[in-house]
Amino acid sequence: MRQLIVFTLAILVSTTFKVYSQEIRIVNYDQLDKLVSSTKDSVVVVNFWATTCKPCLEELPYFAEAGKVNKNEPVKFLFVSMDFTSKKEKAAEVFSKYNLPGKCVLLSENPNNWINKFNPQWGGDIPYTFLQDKKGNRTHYPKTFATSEELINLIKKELIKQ
Amino acid sequence: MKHLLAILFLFIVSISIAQTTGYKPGDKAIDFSLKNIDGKNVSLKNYNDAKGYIVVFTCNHCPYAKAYESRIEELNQKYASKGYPVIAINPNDPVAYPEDSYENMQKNAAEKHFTFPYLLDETQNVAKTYGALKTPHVYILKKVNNELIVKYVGAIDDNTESAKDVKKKYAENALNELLQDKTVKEPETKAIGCGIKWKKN
Repeated sequence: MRQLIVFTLAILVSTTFKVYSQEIRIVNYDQLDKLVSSTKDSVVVVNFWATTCKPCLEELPYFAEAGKVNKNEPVKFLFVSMDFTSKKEKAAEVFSKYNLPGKCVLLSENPNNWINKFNPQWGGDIPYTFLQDKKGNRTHYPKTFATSEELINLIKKELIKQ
Repeated sequence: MKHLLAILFLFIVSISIAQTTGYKPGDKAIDFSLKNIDGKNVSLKNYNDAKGYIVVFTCNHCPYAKAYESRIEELNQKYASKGYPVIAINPNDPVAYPEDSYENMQKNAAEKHFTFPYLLDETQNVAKTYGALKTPHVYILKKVNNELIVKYVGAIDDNTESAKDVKKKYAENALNELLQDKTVKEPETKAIGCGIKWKKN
């Protein structure tokens, strides 16, 4: 009987963990900022996307490709879903389909409060990507990438930066 | 020759700056003539009695734009009679987004009973001149001595997802201030929207 309980418990724990790992956490801007800036000694690639944004979905495979190429490099990926909070499950489902490296969070805060802190030049149109080098300096790319090479080369540039 | 080159250079630089920034509050805006869903062209100068305009770049396909459709209609209901009609413009390339075609604009407007004109910016020149980057993107213009002055640029309010949870109605606040001849306290706001898909030349 005891064995059965342990066994059930183990299954329960592992399944909860599995579900939990796929879940998308809802963050505000300060939490997102901290998440990125606290990642040291790695190049961080941060992409703002949404399940309903066609150009965003078109470029996601390039990020999957860039993840594969940089598997053994100090490169971390973070995806920021701009979907409505009510569409969190949908975002998680789409995110898992693209086999993307790194994890995904959903940013829920009035953009008028955070866009100017983040990059006053940005008008709020997605997709949007920024790269953070190992020292924490950020380079912004308010655009859609045309090829995976374009993204891979930008990451390479950040990696060789001294 | 050198001078000419310098002037030409400055000219090109100023054009590219204008293109990347677009209209800011205080700028003069251009009028336009664009095809409405009823087949007739609409210009701002057609509205003799208007004190100004609520120009909204929007479209059919974008969920942020969809979320605001009824609120755009409410703006028109509330402010057209006070002298600020809504003029909606779809600037998207229908090749990229078939849902944003002229026929689908007609369908969408009929289904939702839009009471404002819904214009097609086929060349995308109006969106480019205004500096619209995304949908929805609002420009409130005021007529001052036969000129159109930009008084507000940005979002409709502070909650795209849920109209009932809105705390700040940015566009309405600006309109109320304009109607009382006050300065607009918050003339520029930011919001997330769907990037406008530009045509490939």
